Amino acid sequence: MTSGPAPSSHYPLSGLRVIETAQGVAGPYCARLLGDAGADVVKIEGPNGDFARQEPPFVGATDFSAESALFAYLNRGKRSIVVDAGSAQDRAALRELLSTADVLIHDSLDLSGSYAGMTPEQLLQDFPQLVTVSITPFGESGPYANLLADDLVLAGMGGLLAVSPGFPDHVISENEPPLRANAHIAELIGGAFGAIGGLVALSARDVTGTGDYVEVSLHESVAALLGWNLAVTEYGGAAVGRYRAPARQAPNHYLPCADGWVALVAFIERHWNSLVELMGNPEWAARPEFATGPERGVNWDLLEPLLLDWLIEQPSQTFFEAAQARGIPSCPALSLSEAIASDQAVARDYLVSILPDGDLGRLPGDPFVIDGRRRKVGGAVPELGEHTPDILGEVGA
Amino acid sequence: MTSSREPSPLRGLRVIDFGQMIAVPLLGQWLGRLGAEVILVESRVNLPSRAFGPFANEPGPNTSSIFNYMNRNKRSCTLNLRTPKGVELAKRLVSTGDVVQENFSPGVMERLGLGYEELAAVKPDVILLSLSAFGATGPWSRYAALHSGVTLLSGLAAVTGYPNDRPRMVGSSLPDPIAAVYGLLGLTQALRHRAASGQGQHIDLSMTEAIQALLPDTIGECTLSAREPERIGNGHRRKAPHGVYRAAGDDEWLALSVDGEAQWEALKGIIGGEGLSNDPRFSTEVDRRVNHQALDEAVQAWVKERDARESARALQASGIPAAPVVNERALLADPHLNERGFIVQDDHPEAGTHPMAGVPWRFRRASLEENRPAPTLGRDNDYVFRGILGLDRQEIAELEREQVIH
Repeated sequence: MTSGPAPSSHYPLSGLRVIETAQGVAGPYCARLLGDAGADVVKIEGPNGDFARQEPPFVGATDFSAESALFAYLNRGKRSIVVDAGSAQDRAALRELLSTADVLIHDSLDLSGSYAGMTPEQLLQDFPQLVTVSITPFGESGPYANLLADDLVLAGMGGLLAVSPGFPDHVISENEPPLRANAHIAELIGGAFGAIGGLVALSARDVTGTGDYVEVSLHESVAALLGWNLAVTEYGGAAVGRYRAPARQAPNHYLPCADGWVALVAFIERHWNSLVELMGNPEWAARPEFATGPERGVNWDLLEPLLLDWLIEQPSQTFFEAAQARGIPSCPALSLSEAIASDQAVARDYLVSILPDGDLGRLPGDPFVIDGRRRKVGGAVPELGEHTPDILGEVGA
Repeated sequence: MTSSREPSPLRGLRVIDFGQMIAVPLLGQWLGRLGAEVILVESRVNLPSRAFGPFANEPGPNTSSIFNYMNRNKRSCTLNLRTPKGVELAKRLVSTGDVVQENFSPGVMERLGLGYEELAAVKPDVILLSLSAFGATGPWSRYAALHSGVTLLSGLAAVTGYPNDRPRMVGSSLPDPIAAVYGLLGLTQALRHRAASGQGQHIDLSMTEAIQALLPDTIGECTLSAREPERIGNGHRRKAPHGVYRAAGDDEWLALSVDGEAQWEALKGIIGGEGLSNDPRFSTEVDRRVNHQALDEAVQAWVKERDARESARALQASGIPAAPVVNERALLADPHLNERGFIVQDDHPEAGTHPMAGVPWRFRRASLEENRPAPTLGRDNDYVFRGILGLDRQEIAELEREQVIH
């Protein structure tokens, strides 16, 4: 693909200012996504800093320059200012800053402590141009509003744990607990939904001339990913959960091969015929019980051992290439290092250096290829309060 | 506070939706709630999205659970893209729109004569979102995969599961809705780009890369140390206890997470036991993480004797994040999600009334569109072909005979 920076107009928020007063994952990710789109992001931190600065794993040449990889991912390219919510002078400076801002991102249920008593209504009144994005675990209303939750608890309450492990995987026995994906899904997706909310409110501002107050709930962000399961449950009457579902069609299964695991997907006849050919046209494949996808599903207990006899001899890479050469949508499990170093990953040049001045580690960059180019994103990770004097100078405080 | 509500934020935007199955249709549904007019272009020649059960009542194109979930707040027109006239009409429709979205295999839109260049020729500032398993470029661009392939090849499965076990896959066909989120993010940025520059753009989104955007800590660790990150089950790299524990009852589970000394002290106060307090294995957060298996056993012993809801109430009251694991049925009936209006009642003419998931945004000034049921097949042909494209009844009848409008 073409490399090099995309035209500057692919940073559509350049010239806009985003104020972020949030910690952890969701709010800072929301702000960083807007920063990737060109906004000047001012990160407001308390005297002790965002707690995500202390999340392992750490990167850096020495212990003194150690930086949390997660914090770097969420905060690269921002400017950091330390504000003391208890100081009248700092609160006045914050108001000055908000009057210059296009977007405010916050994660507190009660704004009165951190914003000189500003309720959502007052923010709308005092800063009519401002789009505020509020990202909280359960939203600002409703019976759960004050409950405590981290990413694990949100995955449980939002329904994702109950369906995991999930199709074509499943629990081995009923004693196996629901399983969390090893990723901050609730918090990162909630942050992305927040960025979307902010962007559409900016589009509406073009028409109405005024900003808005957008509320995003992490709980609902998870549940919004689950809608498919909910509709299937509601129409079909049975929750699939994390159990092995009876195969409607086969094969569409997660199975062992010679050196790992693969998703064997060949339930459509075209794919099945190609798989039979790849297996060397064994005699059993012509049996009437295996004639169609649904019949193979019904007769899966007969079919599985026959397929496994062949599959267990196949190295995953050989299997992958042979299947794909025939258009069969079957894929092997890769280790993470294989996944990020695959021919495809290298060709699409997705990862960027964690620290601009070194190659110690790499992180996902911009997930879009726009007009054939990968937009350059990144920038330095701010030290706590690194830009306090600059920013106070800009607002004349 | 402003007195009257503004219209929905994307009111006036027209989206031509060639989406198949889950990822692109779902993001079209979200665009519809945000105010866009989303026109689904489909054809009786091949209706994969409407063929998936379970079905409400009799199986048929208008009763598919998956279709009726993904395609609410849309219009449907039927256009056979395997005919030159069908492609021509599709281009005319695009020329009246703002956004085009598709998730055919890479290359299909070009083969149909609907590639970005052709669309930009009729609509110079068109925004085209192309979503695929691995992206439109690179050696795997023509490879075929379902969500399982994306989960396995992205590395998400590799980091999920238990030590010394196999890679595991989580549920909800996760790469599809995750890609829908990033697709919507790309489109909403592109709308800002168009507003600023007058230019459209072609967004190429890889589902695999969308999933990897969720893996910064494990990818960071992997590239830093050149080691595979250890799978940690339901554990956490710093916190302990952090897990999902079996509660009293049939298949009832409690998610529980303890962060910091205050929460640890509170937990000791609740689950009690001198042993926990005096055990040197649990003195500090680092100790508790290192010895988390022993700690998990102690927590499990307490949780399994109790009702998950009661336990969660007691733990929350003491400042500890904990909750019962909520299954699909309970989620649809969840009092919080219903009170906040997240769960909507979808009233479909052929499938009946069903609760369904909504969208995670609330605006104070702008409105969200009301939930509207998915269109029956070709319901809006008259609106699209007569109303938007200006064909007369006779032309439409002729095109139907020729199986172009079909």
